[in-house]
Amino acid sequence: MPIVIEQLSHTYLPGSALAYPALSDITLTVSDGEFLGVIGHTGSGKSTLIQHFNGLLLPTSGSVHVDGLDTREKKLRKQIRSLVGMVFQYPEYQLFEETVERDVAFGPKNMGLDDAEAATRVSEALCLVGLDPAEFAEKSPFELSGGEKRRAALAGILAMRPKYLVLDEPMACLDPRGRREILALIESLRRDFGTGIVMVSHSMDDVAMYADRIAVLDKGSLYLVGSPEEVFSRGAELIEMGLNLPQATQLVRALRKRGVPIEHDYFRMDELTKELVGRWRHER
Amino acid sequence: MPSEAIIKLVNVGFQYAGSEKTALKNISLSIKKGEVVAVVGHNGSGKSTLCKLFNALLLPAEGTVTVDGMDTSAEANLLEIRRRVGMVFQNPDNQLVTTIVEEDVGFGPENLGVPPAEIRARVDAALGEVEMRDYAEKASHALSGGQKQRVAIAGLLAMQPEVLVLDEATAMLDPRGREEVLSTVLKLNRERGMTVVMITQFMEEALGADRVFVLHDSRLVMEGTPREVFNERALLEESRLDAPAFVKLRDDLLAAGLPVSQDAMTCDALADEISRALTA
Ligand SMILES: Nc1ncnc2c1ncn2[C@@H]1O[C@H](COP(=O)(O)OP(=O)(O)OP(=O)(O)O)[C@@H](O)[C@H]1O
Ligand SMILES: Nc1ncnc2c1ncn2[C@@H]1O[C@H](COP(=O)(O)OP(=O)(O)OP(=O)(O)O)[C@@H](O)[C@H]1O
Ligand SMILES: [Mg+2]
Ligand SMILES: [Mg+2]
Repeated sequence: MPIVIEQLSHTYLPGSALAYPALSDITLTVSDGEFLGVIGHTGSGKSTLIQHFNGLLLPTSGSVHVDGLDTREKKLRKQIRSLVGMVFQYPEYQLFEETVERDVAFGPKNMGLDDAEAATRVSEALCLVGLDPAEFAEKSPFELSGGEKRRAALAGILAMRPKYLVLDEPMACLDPRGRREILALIESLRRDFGTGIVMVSHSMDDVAMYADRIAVLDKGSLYLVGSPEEVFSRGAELIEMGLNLPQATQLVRALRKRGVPIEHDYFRMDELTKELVGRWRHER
Repeated sequence: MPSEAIIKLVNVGFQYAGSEKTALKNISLSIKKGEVVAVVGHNGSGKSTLCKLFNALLLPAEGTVTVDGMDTSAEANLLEIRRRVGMVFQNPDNQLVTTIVEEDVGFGPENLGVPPAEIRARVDAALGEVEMRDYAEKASHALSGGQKQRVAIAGLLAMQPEVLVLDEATAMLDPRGREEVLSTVLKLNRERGMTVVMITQFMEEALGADRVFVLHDSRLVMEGTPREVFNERALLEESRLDAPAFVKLRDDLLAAGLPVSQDAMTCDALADEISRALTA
């Protein structure tokens, strides 16, 4: 069953002088096993939106249902939180225990797993995110580098094996190889376990390559939702709202401007390379 | 090219208290006045630690760090060093110390003893520079992730330091925001001769620097122009890094026999080269 968002609006501090309408009238469904990318300019409402998916924020109006469970029902919240694992934009918000090991074990233990099972999950999750347990398990999460903190926060969520993974800029501050590895990991969770993925990202390349559909937020409204092809065919609008095109697509556009008629809007550099090499061989 | 060193490290080693691992090993480098340098390296390689040595937030366990000739280990130099070298942290929450955006931006200059009227002017200008004037009176904690980064950058600009140190300060910005901050910083470099040190995981961003430093496992393993560094594909790979996407494309095209210039490293430069090759 999916995550169903219906006519969702959210106002921070409603009724006060500081009331701030951050989302208005969003209707969107995240299907089972789908990879949904979420893009939008700074302050467009991405983090506000996804924090509704596990009931951390509640609709000012409208509703969010996770597998049919209404996030407004207080007694369902624990169940919803074990279905939807959320990694925050700043990992510091979810690291609070004395050691990395305890931090990662927190979720599984909270779900009622026994110590042995929790320990297995911890070392498994740490390895998945590229943190060697021998080196990091006993370290304080506050004594990690920025990228190590992000990996630890992700491990804590993976250890819960949630049905949906909701990730807010998970690649920020990861090194290039780390990005590749974590993206591959996310993709494999979806393939092997049918985990549904929601990923907020400022990397047009990442969402173009991995997402089934992309939701574009603009000033608190859902501007557009569609396949990467549909979304990135509207380059001028995206650029107007502060976004961009994948790098390969940027090059395609730059080549067209110079009179090289590439028909397809490539997202992947390797595919574009093939086309360019093909053309070169053909012309000779 | 100016040649005077504003920051100089000689045989620097650093280890965090209570940690078994050394965070920096035997690092010697110098950064010239008016230079733009990028620092790249894998997670945990020591980038943030290195940059915290530049303004005496951390002191070397071995070797010396000097800023404009002043030893950072001498407490008497502290205020002068902080006046010269300003920094944006990797996590802006560590920077936003007061409750209101404009107070946050004014906090740095106030600590440096800048007179109130001047602070006002600097805060307005800095918030304008990062397009956050509309948020001047908002609570800092009630900002989006990218808005926090913008405010942290404004705080740095308001201090008008001689050296701007940006620790992945644009990691959460949208594509346009990232371009704008980068061009603001490069403008300050050009027009006011500010020295810029930027840590980044975006190799494309490092292309705009005069020099790139590569850290790997606490050591400085490469330094050179972006062209020199990003042409060392095997060494980069070994350091868990990557060349910019357009550099990789250029190399793949060269390998397939397309005559494109070794100097082409950006989208526009490659587009020029490819269209020339294909329409020749
Ligand atoms: N406060 C601390 N106490 C102990 N060890 C620390 C502390 N801060 C960082 N470290 C360790 O020092 C090493 C270097 O950390 P540093 O933050 O400089 O890395 P970095 O290159 O900035 O990494 P990242 O790309 O992840 O931000 C890492 O192994 C890290 O775990
Ligand atoms: N706790 C809060 N109180 C009041 N306003 C808030 C609060 N949190 C966020 N906002 C405002 O709501 C808007 C949307 O914020 P949100 O964090 O959802 O943006 P975002 O799309 O995630 O941006 P970014 O890419 O910068 O992370 C912003 O203008 C922000 O200032
Ligand atoms: Mg956000
Ligand atoms: Mg760092």
